[in-house]
Amino acid sequence: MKNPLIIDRPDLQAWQQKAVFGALTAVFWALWVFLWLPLVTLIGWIFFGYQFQFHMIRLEGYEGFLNLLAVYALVILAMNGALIGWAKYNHFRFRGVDRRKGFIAPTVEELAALHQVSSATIAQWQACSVLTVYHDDHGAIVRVVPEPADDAVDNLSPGRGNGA
Amino acid sequence: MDSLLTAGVGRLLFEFSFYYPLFMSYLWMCGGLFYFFHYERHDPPADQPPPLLDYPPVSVLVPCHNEAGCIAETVEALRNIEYPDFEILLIDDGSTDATPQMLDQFARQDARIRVIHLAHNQGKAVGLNTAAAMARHDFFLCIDGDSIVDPNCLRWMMRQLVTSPRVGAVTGNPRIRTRSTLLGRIQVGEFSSIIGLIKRAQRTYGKVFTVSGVMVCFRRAALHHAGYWNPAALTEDIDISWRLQMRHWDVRFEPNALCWILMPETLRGLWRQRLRWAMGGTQVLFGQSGIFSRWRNRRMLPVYLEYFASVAWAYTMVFVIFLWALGLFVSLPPAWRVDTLLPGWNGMVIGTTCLLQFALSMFLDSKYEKGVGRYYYWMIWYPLAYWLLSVMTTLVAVPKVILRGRQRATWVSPDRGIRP
Repeated sequence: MKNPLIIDRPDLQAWQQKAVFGALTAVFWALWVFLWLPLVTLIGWIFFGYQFQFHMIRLEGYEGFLNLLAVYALVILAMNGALIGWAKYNHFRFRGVDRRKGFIAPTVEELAALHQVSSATIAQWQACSVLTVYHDDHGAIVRVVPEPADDAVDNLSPGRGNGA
Repeated sequence: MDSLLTAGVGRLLFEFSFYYPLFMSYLWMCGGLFYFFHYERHDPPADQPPPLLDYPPVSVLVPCHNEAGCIAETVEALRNIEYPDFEILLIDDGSTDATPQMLDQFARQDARIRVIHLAHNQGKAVGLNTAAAMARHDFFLCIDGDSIVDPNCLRWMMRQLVTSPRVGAVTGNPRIRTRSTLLGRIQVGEFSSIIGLIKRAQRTYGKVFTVSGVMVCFRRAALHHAGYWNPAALTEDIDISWRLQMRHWDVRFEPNALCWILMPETLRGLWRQRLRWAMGGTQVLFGQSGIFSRWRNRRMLPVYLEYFASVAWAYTMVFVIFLWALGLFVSLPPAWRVDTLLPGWNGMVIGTTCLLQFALSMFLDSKYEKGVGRYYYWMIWYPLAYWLLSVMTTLVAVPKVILRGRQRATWVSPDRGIRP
């Protein structure tokens, strides 16, 4: 069954747009087949014998082609071998090893220091359900107003209520 | 001697323009396959997440700017998340539509929902930094205001964070909703092939270039260590991914954590989005250029060099096109002559590789979305035309980042595709 979240409604665009893109896509696939013509020609040669024998075998035309493929294969093998080798090495070396055990979440005091307010202010911010925040030109919090804005306005703003 | 040198440089450029995408494509495919067989294959279906040893509470952070048309379904999906304990912080970033009133209404309906109104438009990074100070819990799931999460996403993402203390962030698997037009359909394959497959391959290596900012779960300790989100970053997701990994936090990919997103379906909207992405990547290139002198960050160097090579490739391709055009009017030395832009043998090899990459990535993603393969027909655009978009955005992004300096990034409402 189709996912209801997917919006696939081509009927919502102009028919001209739909027609142009549909036709262009078909032309692109045709062009793609055209790019394969050298290979199609080669296959044709194989079936018609003489040309293939002459160009690819007697004139050794296959050698350049095979050399090129060998270079591609070698480079791809080397790059991917390095990647998989690296992944395996890290897997065996670091599996189950965690050197981050000392990192714990910042305390309220650390958050308070970051925002230059008191710990109590941070606790109040975190207790509010709806609030409005004002910032300075650098994006730092300068004023916090809880809603409904009938109390504790001063207590929630940096620079006030932090004992500074 | 000079002509020999010039000829050598010319040949090097032409070979780079061909071999870089060819060999990188096979690296992505091989890395993606390794990831699939090593990490993904044995997972249960996405709708049956395995039980966790522990379910630490989570704060869901949702930055919103003029989201009145989308926010109701976003919030509804968040309320349906299957996880024992979480709060939802809706961040209204100076919206000028009905968003603020709607958010207040949601808060009145559900005690888990809290609302932070930013008095003025501050941008996503400042919105997230503000919410991080107000959040009650030590794990953050960050979601865009126009995306719809899968009910099981949080269990999948927390699996990674709970089992390893060195994981600082986990990025999800965004799936595209808008598929009415050609651009929408191409992006379905692009998200599988260029984004999903590359993330898998980069995880095989051990480091990623970026998380997907539309859905990412963070450990508060890691964010605090990295200094939270950077307001000057054009793409806060690329920036935070780098700052976390430079401090040796692990950034993981969780393909089972699904999230349905709206993407642009007009060329103008797509151009603006991709230009911002390219500028964000370029900012990282400039901002992290000191990586060469920092031995302890050596594991990020291949990721840096790969992105640098992709920018260099974009410029090389534009140079090749320029040489071809110049050759129409001026007689160039043989080493610099570009006879035709029609793809010959090289074009066929790269095109076939590209289509193979799309086929493989769609096969890998079919585990999460049945029938995704029917969009393969439209993928022919990628090798023949669509790649020009990323070349052009990269070309424009570099000078724009140089000229931009350290301005703050604020919100611009994006194109969200065709909706009924």
